[in-house]
Amino acid sequence: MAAQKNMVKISKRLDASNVAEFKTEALSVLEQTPVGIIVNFSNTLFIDSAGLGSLVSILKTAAQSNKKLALVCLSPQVSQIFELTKLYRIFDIYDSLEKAEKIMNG
Amino acid sequence: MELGEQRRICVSSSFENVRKIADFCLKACRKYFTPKELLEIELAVVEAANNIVEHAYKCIEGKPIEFSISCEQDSIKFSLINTGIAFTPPPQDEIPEMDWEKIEDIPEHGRGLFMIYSSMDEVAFFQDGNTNILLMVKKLPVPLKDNSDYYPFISSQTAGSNMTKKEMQTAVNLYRNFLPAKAPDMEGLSLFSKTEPALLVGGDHLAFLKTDDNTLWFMICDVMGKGMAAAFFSMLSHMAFKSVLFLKQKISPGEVLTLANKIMANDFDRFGMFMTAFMGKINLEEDMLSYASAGHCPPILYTKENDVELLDTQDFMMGVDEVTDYRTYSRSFLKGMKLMAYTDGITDITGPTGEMAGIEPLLYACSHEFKIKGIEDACEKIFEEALIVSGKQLQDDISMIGVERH
Repeated sequence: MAAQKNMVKISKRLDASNVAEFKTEALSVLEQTPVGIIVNFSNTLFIDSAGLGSLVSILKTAAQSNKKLALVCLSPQVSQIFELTKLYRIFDIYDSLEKAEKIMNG
Repeated sequence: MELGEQRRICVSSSFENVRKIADFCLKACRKYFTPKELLEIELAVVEAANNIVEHAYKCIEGKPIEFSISCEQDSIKFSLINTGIAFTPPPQDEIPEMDWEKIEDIPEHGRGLFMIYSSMDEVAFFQDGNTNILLMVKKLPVPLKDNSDYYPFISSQTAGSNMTKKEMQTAVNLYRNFLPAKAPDMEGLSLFSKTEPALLVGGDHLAFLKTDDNTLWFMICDVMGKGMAAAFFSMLSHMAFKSVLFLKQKISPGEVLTLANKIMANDFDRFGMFMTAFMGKINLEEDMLSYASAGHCPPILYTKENDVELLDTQDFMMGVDEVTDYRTYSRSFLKGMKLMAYTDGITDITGPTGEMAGIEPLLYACSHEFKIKGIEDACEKIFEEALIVSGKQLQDDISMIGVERH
């Protein structure tokens, strides 16, 4: 996982074995940015329910402080998992980083 | 994996090892499903295994999780077995719907079961004594044809008709002589090894190799299946291991497995064969045991302080992917410590009512016998008991290797 300013990039898998690390990093990035956080899935091929749970938790924290959470560059595999769990309904999902950055910058 | 075949892996409970189960599962069944179906399978298996780590074992590491996958005509069956706290989940139609109205009401947990039910065609839970079994079934997009003559040169019919009795006997003698009749003498160590094939020959293989007065290598491997085909491939692996050990003086057990796998993988994979192996090295000068495992059943280590524990740090099995890196683990091996490695023929013994013995009786037997006996007597007793429980006809090859420091 690599962080830059307002973005966290997830590794190949986000699952119960690395979710704690991701959540800590994402929450710390969220705290430091005024507008919100972008989570980049461009390298990610798998996410389990623990990973999804952490995203729901980050979304709630963001909403409490009126910040945004944008998910970008979902692979077909990750999209399939969001569709299966119907979680695509609650997240702001963008197919490119540029679009998400535009939203973040207002 | 072919029709009628079953593959198994046993790992210790940790979220990292859940990835190994997922990897094992996908490699075994990838040729039968579409990418979308494979992702559903991976999700269901990962969620089910995560639940075992988190709920059945309360995140305590080192407890056994057995995963098996079997290939039937119209479906692939996946089962996960644990000995932790039993949990009977609600049926699919009783899982509550999520409230999507307010973000704060959307739960962070509790999606796993829904994902399992939505990804598999059948899901069932059983309890057998203190064993919890989850069975999941995924229908194949295209039913399989019976291709039992896939390996014509190793089918039993061919062997029966073309091979004379004498040639068969020669093969049996060769195989039996490859196995160590007697462990080498080493000051400071007591050694035990024994194997019992289910048929005349088998796919289990044991070896000791003393490279100098202070260094002992030992290995135990289990080639898929039993009988002549398995024996044939176990001989191949024997030569690969030996070559690597003779050619490279300073080498770790993990490097031996990595190189031997690189040599053999292509030949194994062409015939759909694979093997598990545990390789250990004892350095008496440094009081160290180093080891590596290619998907092999976790060996049992006995110390006076900690009683019995599983040495469970497996990498992927051999013969499937030629680029597999095997890690080496090290720990001190001091006076009084005993190590026993075995093949799954022992844990897979089924009793009169059809239940599988699993690892618990073996751990119990080791804890009991290792306290009061030396390695040779203890292993001999456990081995004999295993033969008695399994009855006259063994279902699988059974092998055991034991090392004690004194």
